[in-house]
Amino acid sequence: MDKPILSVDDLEVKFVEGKKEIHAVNGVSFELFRGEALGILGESGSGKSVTLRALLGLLPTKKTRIRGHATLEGTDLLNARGRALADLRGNRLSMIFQEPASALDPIYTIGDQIAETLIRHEGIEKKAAWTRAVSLLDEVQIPSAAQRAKAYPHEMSGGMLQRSMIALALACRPSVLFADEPTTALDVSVQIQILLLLRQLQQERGMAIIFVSHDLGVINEISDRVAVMYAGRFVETGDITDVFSQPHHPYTTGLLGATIGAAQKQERLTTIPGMPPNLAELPPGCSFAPRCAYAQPSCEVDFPPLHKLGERRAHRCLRVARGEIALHAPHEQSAAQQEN
Amino acid sequence: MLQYPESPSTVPADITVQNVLKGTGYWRLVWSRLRRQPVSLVATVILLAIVFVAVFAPWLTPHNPYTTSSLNRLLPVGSEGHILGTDENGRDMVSRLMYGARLTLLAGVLPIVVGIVIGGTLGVLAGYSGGWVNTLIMRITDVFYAFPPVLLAIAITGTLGTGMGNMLIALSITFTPPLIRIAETVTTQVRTQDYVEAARISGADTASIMRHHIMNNVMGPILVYATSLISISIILAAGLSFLGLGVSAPLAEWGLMLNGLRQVVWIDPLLAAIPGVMIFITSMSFNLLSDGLRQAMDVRL
Amino acid sequence: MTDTPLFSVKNLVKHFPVHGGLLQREVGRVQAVDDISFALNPQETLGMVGESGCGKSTTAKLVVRLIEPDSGRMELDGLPLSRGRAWDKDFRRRVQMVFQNSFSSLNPRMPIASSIAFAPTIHGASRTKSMQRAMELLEIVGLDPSLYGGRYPHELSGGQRQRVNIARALAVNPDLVILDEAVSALDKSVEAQVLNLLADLKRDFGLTYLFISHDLNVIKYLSDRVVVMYLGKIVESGPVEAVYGMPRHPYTRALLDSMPSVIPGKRSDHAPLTGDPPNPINPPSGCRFRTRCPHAEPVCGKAVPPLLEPIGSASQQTLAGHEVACLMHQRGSGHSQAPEGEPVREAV
Repeated sequence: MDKPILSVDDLEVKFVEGKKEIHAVNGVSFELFRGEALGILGESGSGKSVTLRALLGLLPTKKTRIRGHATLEGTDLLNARGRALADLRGNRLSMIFQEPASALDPIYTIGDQIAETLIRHEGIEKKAAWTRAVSLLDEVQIPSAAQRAKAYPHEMSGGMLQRSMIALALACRPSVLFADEPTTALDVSVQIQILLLLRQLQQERGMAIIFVSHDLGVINEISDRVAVMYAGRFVETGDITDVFSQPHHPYTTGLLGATIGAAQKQERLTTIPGMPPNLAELPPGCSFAPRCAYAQPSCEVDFPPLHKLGERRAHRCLRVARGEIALHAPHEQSAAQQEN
Repeated sequence: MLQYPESPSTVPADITVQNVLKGTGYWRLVWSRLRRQPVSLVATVILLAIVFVAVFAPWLTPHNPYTTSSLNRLLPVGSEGHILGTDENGRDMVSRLMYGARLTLLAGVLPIVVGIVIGGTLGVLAGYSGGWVNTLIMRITDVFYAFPPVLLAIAITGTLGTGMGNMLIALSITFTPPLIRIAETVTTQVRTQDYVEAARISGADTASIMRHHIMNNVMGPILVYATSLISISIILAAGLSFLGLGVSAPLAEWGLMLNGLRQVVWIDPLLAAIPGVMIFITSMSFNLLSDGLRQAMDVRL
Repeated sequence: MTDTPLFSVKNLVKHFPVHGGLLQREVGRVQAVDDISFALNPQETLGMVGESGCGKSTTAKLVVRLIEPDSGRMELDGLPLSRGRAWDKDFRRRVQMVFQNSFSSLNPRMPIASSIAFAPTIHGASRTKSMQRAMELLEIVGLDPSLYGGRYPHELSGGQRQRVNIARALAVNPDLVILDEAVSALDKSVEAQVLNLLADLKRDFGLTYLFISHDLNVIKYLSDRVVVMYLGKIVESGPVEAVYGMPRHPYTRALLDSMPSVIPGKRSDHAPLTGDPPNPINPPSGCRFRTRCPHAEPVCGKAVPPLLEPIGSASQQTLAGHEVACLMHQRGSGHSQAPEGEPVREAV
């Protein structure tokens, strides 16, 4: 296997508010290879968005403390500043967001915004940039691209805006694309279009993508590998089919159980009791222990390190590692039935 | 009438309404937050001191603020018997400052109170009603808004004549339009919120909605804005007196005192600056209090 | 069903005028809800599903009478809704709503127990009794009243606030509760908790739900019957097993196929629909879906297909009450795929 294109080692992100320290990301490490799609699955407060923003330098500098290492094709990400950072963003590393309307400037046309980034990073002329912009809009399946390029954001629908944002993000052919819940605000019929578009573009360009979402179905559709995140840590990682069919962490099982798609009607949803932990006061042991159906008293005290099962699988559950409990995907029967 | 089925209450007896809601009133929450802000506390203390002095001025002044003395004119700061010196007519500064506090505070606060009452009512009415009522009230307000406040105040006092009473009327008229506007804006925002719709779905009539949902949420921003206007009113009143359009001699009012000491700035700048410093301290304190109030009232933290 | 439905809607229409130009004249109309009819039977859950612009939110507001329809009839217990003080109060007790945004639906400056107790006081209950009831409801929805009663909305999480909203809706003992995207803004695990709560409450209090959502899975989980909306019209309705198991309308099919697969190893390979849900200002003539339908024919543009049970096709079994507004499934409609025979008249 060749070298990873993005390498993150022990990333920690803390927000300081007065006397409180909020531990948003607590030791995240992973490698991303060329052309690979990594899905980060987690709920609000898990730290998934913060991770992406930390890597792109999008967090407010004053109250953020970042530690750890991250390199993109050899370039240091976390210490990049000023010109180096600006050269990186939008160029080799790009991001698309949940609300396209707020990521696009309302007073410029779509074509102008895409052309601007091309001019900035590649130094080409305005006319050439405009032509490239139109072809990019075409590539993201916007009909009548040449006319649409002259439209303003408020004249476009949600699906169109999201495609425009993708075009903007891909303009300079980045090696890695970060996607922060880009389909959450879209209708389901548009969502699948965008997901398929992303998959297609990813394959055509050999681009690596990190896709963050709370929706299991979306993660299943887009990812090759998945990392399940809770309270700022990866609690389980592995190939998507492995993790979803054979989970090794109670939180993953919980999420699978709470997903209705696999459940039959009237079958009671297995819920995860309680609430996400207070990130300012994390317990010393496993952060999920207070809500875990399998937890023992020792779980809240002993910190679960990352337990590796071969090259591509890992989890953070002491009891699973010790073989004390065996987890299975809920609704296994129902899943088989739904396949018809 | 709402009938509840007879079922034994599952709630333990000691959890009464009183226990749960004790100390949860919104304004109590605001007060407890305010108490914890050092800047607001300092501002409040300063203001209270000034108010205290103003109220008890007749008992506190070392000298009669109106007694002139050609001999003791323009005594510098630190003179014996006159800690802050005397003005151009030999009157004791400290005494005049104390008496001036009364008029200045009155000129600052009363127009705003009138503005809140009249402007707040009109604004809330306009905001809640919408439609032609809103248009009528707001367009008339716009007419007043077309005038810069200073010019408006000057024009009104010019028409009505000088004197404290007329100045207060002029200031009240000047500050009512901005309060109408803020009240209308906030009320319109609140009126479209889901919880007001939920109240309507519950069957509440306009009066109940006003009382329980609109007023509490609207008073906050109005009060914050109003307190920040107080300092402007003080300065405006001082300015009017300075121009000879408000209070006239021999009354003590800080703006008037500034006017009287205008010539002295070359001779004894410290003396000439004193009334200005008092205006500054008072205005700043009101502004800081207003800011603190805004933070304390924020329910989105 | 011979019993009177609890709530029924007939030929409901609501258009919103669009003003433009110098004189702000009406330049178009948003046909948000265009001639829909449905019924809610006692103690059942009717799911209403559709994408942006389909009119489901407008329908919710019409049912709860926040806005009045342009035309059409609504009936509660078989009696038409009327205006008038006493009648209105009664309606406002029997029909309640839970909104999507849990934060903006609570007065930010009122402790939550007071928010819950507000509606009962409007209906004549004493303040003490209302508060007592509020405490009980907090407990029922899973929030400790001694801990949460005096708190403010901003001190609670989204899931907790939504429980408060549910408690608030139940405070007046309603018969019908409209849930307008009530769980859409919640995390999946919290959503599961709230859905379980809703199912329990419906059973314990004998409630009827109108559940509106864009999330097909949630609708499937909670509903007995479902109504699929597209551009202001109902395109398919029926028992949830029928509609989800044997979707007839091409839009319903496409919608169900658009759901991302949660089965590991199985992925979608094509998008069933292209483009965006259209704007309800100038809908297509006849069947509104025809511009995106793979089976559209000229006859589809001539008249709006009525909502009927598919008849005349022996090979396809239909569950009772499963209706489709598509010419392909209506005998003698003129569509090439429709069964031959006499056209069926719509039941008046």
